[in-house]
Formats: sequence, structure tokens, C-alpha cells
Amino acid sequence: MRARLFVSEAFRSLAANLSTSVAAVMTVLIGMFLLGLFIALGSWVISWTDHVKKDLVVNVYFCTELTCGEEVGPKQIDAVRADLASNPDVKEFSFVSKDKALDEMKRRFPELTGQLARNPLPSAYEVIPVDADRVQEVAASLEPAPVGVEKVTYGEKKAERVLQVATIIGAIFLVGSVILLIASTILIANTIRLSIFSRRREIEVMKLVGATNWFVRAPFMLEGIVCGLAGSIVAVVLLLMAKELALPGIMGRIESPDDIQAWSFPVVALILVCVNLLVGAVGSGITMRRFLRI
Amino acid sequence: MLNGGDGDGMLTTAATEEPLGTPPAPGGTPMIVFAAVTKVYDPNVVALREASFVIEKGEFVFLVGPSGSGKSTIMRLLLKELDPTDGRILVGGRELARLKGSKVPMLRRNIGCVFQDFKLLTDRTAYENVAYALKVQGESKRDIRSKVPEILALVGLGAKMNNHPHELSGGEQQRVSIARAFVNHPPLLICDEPTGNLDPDTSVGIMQLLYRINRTGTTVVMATHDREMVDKMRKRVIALEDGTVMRDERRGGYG
Repeated sequence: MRARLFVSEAFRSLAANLSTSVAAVMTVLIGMFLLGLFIALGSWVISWTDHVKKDLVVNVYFCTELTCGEEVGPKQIDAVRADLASNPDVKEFSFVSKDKALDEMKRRFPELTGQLARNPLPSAYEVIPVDADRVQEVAASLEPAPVGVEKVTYGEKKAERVLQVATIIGAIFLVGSVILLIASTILIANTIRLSIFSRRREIEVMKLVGATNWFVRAPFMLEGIVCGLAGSIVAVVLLLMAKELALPGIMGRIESPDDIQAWSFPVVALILVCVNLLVGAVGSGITMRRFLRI
Repeated sequence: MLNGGDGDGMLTTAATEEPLGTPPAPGGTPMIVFAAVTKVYDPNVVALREASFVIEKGEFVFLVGPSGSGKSTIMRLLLKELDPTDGRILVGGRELARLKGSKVPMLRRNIGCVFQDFKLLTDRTAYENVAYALKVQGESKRDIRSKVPEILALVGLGAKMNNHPHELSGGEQQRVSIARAFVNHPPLLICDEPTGNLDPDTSVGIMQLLYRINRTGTTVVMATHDREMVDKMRKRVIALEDGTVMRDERRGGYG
């Protein structure tokens, strides 16, 4: 019965101090929306870098007249093929013939290839490692270069850079999320503090009339919870709308294979809501104790 | 409802006796006991200096004195908003010093208080303001629904139950305050300059109300500046100056 009284008192207060309540809800909403956005984007980027890592390939370029003095022979190609087939770090590999290489070149740079009398491009094996982090090991397994192999490249810089970027992005995401979380919490707590402070006369009267501390505190804490809940629910709804409406528009321009995904939506939503309940209740309770010594 | 019956005893002049004075009940537990109570604020501001007095149940007592003489300090000590630096205070036979923090709300529910600035909750109606005092006690909605209109009618605001404080005159607001203070029929009513913000005519009405409340057996202690009223009513007067009790007279005047 007490609980019902507190709840009705809380809603009465919310209605009576509408502008403050709306301010609190808006604060929560903005904070949570940004946080949700950040989490979504951050986890998407991480997934993307994972994907890019998969694209790292090792290229085994065979000799041509120009590079080694003579073309590579079929036996030598076969030797390399056997090598790769028995390498546990190699997931798959495919042969790119000179002709295929030239066709690809013609497609990408027609002006350069128009004048060629002969095909200067080498044939190659494109090797995809099982684990993107072991690209270097795969390349190393072909050292020293077998007969007929001109060079082995693996976009060394690209690999390093991608790994670096991935780490940096991961760090930024983590730090950013923490900062946003702290900022949201502070904002919410501040809004609550302002609302309680502006009603200190009311609280004084309540105490004079003989209300116990919890009798005064409970409705305020409930108010904090309700505002937090309302704000985060609306934020979740907005994020949902953004996901359904805005995302297809943006993503249409970016190639995005299926394996890239942000964290599952319900998980994010749940996190937001729980954070808010906690901040709302605890924030109000602490604020009242500190400011009003009740 | 308010002006009927028992003769406006308080409007007698000094020459005639107060016909309906309530003599104290000897032998019963006093309502209030102040025993050499001293209150010092930091730094070294002495608000009350060894104040001693005893107020019996059912008395009507004026606390008079200039600003800063200690009247408000006494009020706050009674409500345990402050604790004395020295001395003992007993309310209803209970030593305030021994009262735990969690029991203070209980104390306050047994003391009705009325202030100069009314101290109403501005976003609630007159009804809701009085009802709050009952809610705090855990009274049921049914009890509230019967008690509140009754007390508001008693103070003359039956028709204005659903008005907010800003829709009421000063005198009416003070009546709401008194209704709230009295709805629980507490044994003690303390008033800190209740007519301070009111014009003389309205003040008379308020005083009549407080007088009637006193007649029901409620002890009333009132701090006031209002010289005229004190002289008219001829009740017990405790006069303070600079924190010291200068005078304590049975049928006192303002002095």
C-alpha cells in the first residue's frame, strides 16, 4: 500500500513539475541515443576491420623473361603448388595465369596496356591464409624463394596498417564508450540534482510535517527511475528507427558483405535501459542525501 | 461556525478577568520543560542563555521579544531541527536528547506548527496540503476523505478546498496551514509569528482560531511581535531578550 502511495506521489510530482521532468527525460534520451549510436558504429567498424583482415593475401610471383632472365617452367610451378598444398596455414590458393593478369590490367588501366607488344606480367599464385594474423608466417614459409619464384609479397604495409588501425579503432571505441557513459551519467545526475534542489522548500515542508526520510526520498527516486526509463526507451525506439530507415540508405553505398555486423540490437538496448535505471535511482538517492542531509 | 458560542473572551480589556482561562493541570506531566537550555551557534553567537521554563498541558503561552531574542531558536529546538549546546529539553515527558534520528518524524507529527510564511506546498490544493499531513501518518484514503473536509470547514475554508495557495488570500493560506497543523489533533501547537504577514483584521480571525484550538485542550505556544494582541489576550507571557528569559508572567502583557 505504501508502494502505491509512493508511485502516485512520484507521478503527481512528475506532472506538476513537467518542464523539469521533460528536461530530465531529454537529457537521458540524448545521452543514451549517442551512446547507442557509438556502440553500434564502433562494433560495426571492428567487424569491418576483421573482414578486411581476411582479404589479406600472399602473392607468389613467378619469374618472367624480364625479371629473372627466363620464364618459369611448369615443373617449378608444380613444386610451389605442392608446397602450398601441404602448408597448414594456407586456407586456399588460386593460380592467376599471365593472360588472366593481363586481362585484369587491361580492365583497370586500359590506357597503359593498349600499347603492349608482349605480356610482361608474371603468373602468380594468390594465397589466402587461414588466419589473417599469420600472413607473415605464410610468406616466410616460402623463404628462401624456390626456383622460378621471383618474389613473394603480402602487402606487408597493408597488413601492418590494418592491424594498427584495428587496434586503434578498438581503443578509441572503448575509451569513447566509457567517456560517453560517464558524460551521460553526469548529465543525468546533474539534471536530477537541479530538480531536487529547486524543490528544497517542498522537501523542508514535508520534513516539518513529520515525513520520514524514506517517505520524502522514495517518490523522488521513483521519479528518477521513470525519467531514466522513459528517456532510454525513446532512445531505443529512435535507434531502431535509425537502423531500419537510415541504415539501408547509407549502407547501400558501401560494400558490406554479410559477415559484418554490429552487436545485436537487443543487447545494446538492454544495456542502455539498465544503465539508466541504475543511474536514475542511485543518482536521486545520493543527491538527496548530500544536498538535504536526508 | 467560528464566531458562535463562547464569548470573545480574548477581546476583554485589561480590567476584566479572562472568564475562560484554562488553568494548568497540576501534577500531570508538563507539555514542555526547558531546563537551563543554552544554544550557541558558531562562532560564539549565543542564541539562548540558560533558558528555563515549564509549560503545562492546555496552556496558551506567548513568547515575546525583539528579533534575535531567541524565540525562533526555541521553536526549532522543540522540533529538534536544532540540538541544544547545553541543558535539557523535555516534550511530553520525553527527553529530546535521547530521541533517535529515526524517531524525529514521530515527534513532529505530534507537534503542529504554523509559520509566518505559511509553508504550504504550492503545487497542491488546500485539500491536498492538509491531506499530506495525514498521508505522512499512513492514514487510509477513506479516513483522509472524511477528516480533511471536516477540518477545512472548521477553519472556514469548506468552499475553497480545491484552490491552490496562490488562489487564496494570506489569511486563508494561514488557515490552511492551521488546518494542516491541527488535522491530527496533536497535543502541542507551536506558532512562529503566525500573523506576521497578515493585516490586523485578518490577524484577529487567526487568533480566534488558535484560541478555539486551545480550548479543545491543545497546548499552544506562540512567538509573536504583536503587542496589541498579547495585551488583549492576557495569557501567560514569557519575554525574552538577547537569549535570556527576562519575564514569565501568568497574565502578562507585552511589556
